[in-house]
Amino acid sequence: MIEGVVKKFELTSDQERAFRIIANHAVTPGSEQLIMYVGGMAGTGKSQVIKALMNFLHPEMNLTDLGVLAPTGTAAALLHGSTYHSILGVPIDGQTALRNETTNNAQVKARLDGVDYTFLDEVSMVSCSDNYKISSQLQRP
Amino acid sequence: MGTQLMSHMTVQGQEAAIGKALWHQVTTVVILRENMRQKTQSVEDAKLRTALEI
Repeated sequence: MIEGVVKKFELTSDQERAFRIIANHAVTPGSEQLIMYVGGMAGTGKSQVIKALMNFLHPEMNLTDLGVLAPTGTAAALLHGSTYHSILGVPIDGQTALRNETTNNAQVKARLDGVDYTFLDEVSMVSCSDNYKISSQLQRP
Repeated sequence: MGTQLMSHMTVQGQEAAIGKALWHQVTTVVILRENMRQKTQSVEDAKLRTALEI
């Protein structure tokens, strides 16, 4: 199955390496949490790797089941994802959270139910304090 | 921005330090180097395409 996706998306050797690290992690039971960064210049095919992974993890392409996140709406739209603010319920700087916190947390939990991997595209646009906000939001009970 | 928390830091400073420390927990890295656009073009195009490669 991994071979099939590699062929279908015509991944280069580097892209294939990135893809295989995650695909192998996905099929290995009881593996440790994978925290991974895929870098490269514009047009080297990072998004192509994400597309291949989306195809591998969810062949039916049910995009709502996938945690495809990005810091801006434009970046998210390219991958049919959403901003991390919207999925994770992180308030945008300078704006107070409009929703009730308990309701918000419940909604975030419902959204992330069944999500095994999240992809955060354009990670270079995430500042240190944004990273903290994402992390603290994800650790809410 | 460092990754150490100190007592004199502001809350924002502490949050940023924690955020940076979190970023340093990323241990698996793959850097893609081959430009996949304009892959099938002339020799000159290939030169231009690879001019900025590290």
